[in-house]
Amino acid sequence: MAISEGNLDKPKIQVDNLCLWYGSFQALKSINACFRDRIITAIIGPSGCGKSTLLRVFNRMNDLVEGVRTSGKVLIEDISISDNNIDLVSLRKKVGMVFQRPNPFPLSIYENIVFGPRIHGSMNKSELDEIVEESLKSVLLWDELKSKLDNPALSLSLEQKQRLCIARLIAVKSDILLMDEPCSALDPYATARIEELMRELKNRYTIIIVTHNMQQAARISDEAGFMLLGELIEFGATENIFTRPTNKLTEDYITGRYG
Amino acid sequence: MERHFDEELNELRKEILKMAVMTQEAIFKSIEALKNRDNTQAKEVIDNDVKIDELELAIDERCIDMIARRQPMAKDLRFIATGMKINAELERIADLAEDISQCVLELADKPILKPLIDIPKLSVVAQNMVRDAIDAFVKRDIGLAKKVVLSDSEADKLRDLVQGELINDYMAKDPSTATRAVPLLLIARHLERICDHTTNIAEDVIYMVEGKVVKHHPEELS
Repeated sequence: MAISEGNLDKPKIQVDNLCLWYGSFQALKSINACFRDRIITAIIGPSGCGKSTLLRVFNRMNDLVEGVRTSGKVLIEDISISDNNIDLVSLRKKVGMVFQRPNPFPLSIYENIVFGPRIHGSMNKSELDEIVEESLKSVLLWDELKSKLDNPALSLSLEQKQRLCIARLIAVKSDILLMDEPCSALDPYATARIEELMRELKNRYTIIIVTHNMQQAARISDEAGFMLLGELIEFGATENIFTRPTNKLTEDYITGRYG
Repeated sequence: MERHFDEELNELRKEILKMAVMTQEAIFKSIEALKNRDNTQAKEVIDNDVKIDELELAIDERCIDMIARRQPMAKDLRFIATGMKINAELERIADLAEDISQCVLELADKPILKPLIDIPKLSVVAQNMVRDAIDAFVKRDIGLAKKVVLSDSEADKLRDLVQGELINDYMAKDPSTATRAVPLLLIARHLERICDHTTNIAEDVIYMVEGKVVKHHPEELS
């Protein structure tokens, strides 16, 4: 569902008192936060603080882990996604994810992109061609690859592969993009280009990025949250988080005094 | 966790303090030169300004280098950004001390117009403000910084007093006094400008400590 212009301040994702346990280990502790549409939100924090776990809550990827248990509420466009009767396939279509290492299927570039749309509905060749063109244009790969659509996706550069993975989400019309360290395998030049792409995409999507790279979070995000030991310590406008955080723990972490 | 970066920040703090000490000395000497009609001291202030300019450039370079290498965040970023601004303010203050000394030289071969009363008072206000602003920077003392900002109106009043007296009681009555009255008037103005730059330093200190912008927002001071 497209969000109307007037709804921009309404949270796309609302998290109320969310707790999560892996067996007896509590990975998330009473998280409360709002993630807004059409901005980039960054989640930062040291390894093991729960930031990836939080990201994976939004498309219920944690369900795949044995012994996982949650309490509290997560609403996406006012619909609770923790309900048992939620359709996980359409949830994961709506809320797509990009990983640290780009993971294209060992298929052609074309087949990588139409893979999702084919699963979600039968379409004819001309419709699929259109989706491929649109998706590749969105990630600025079309001009480079339009004559090589039958080449294996695994032959692409790392950056192109990561763009292709983002294009796959666009092809199934995801409107929330979760990015877990999407640039950590890329060199600085490719990183800058992916960041430019994220800036282009944020006008149409809700983007949430988890990153260890504080400068990256400062560069690209509009809002940022700092997590420590399963708690969301501080959440707010990026400019405030990086110039005048209100919590000493945030201050210590972003100035490298943590530990 | 102790960071090597803290040592670098400490070095920067020391350099700014050195800059502050040199600037304070320039103001003090220029006022002494005025009171004692001491040309040697006035020339010393003028000659010494080049050293202050050099230090200003060195501090600037150090700050830019730290930003490039460390990409500072939060209070580190605020400290370095404030350091750069205070550095520039101090350099301007030192220039004004030099300007005062120039006026002293202009007065040197002329008979005394009047005994100095309010200008020395104004110079005490200026020197106290500079001292307190630098103290506030070193001790991260918001209370003291606010006191400095609020003292500025006292300097304005004294400047107006000096100006009014020189214009109305001297120049208006006897235009031939202008060659002696104008340098004094300029000195009062330079001192008042020193207080303005010092107010900026105090406002920068408040930003450095609290992240709050009080410059051009006097209501934020309370």
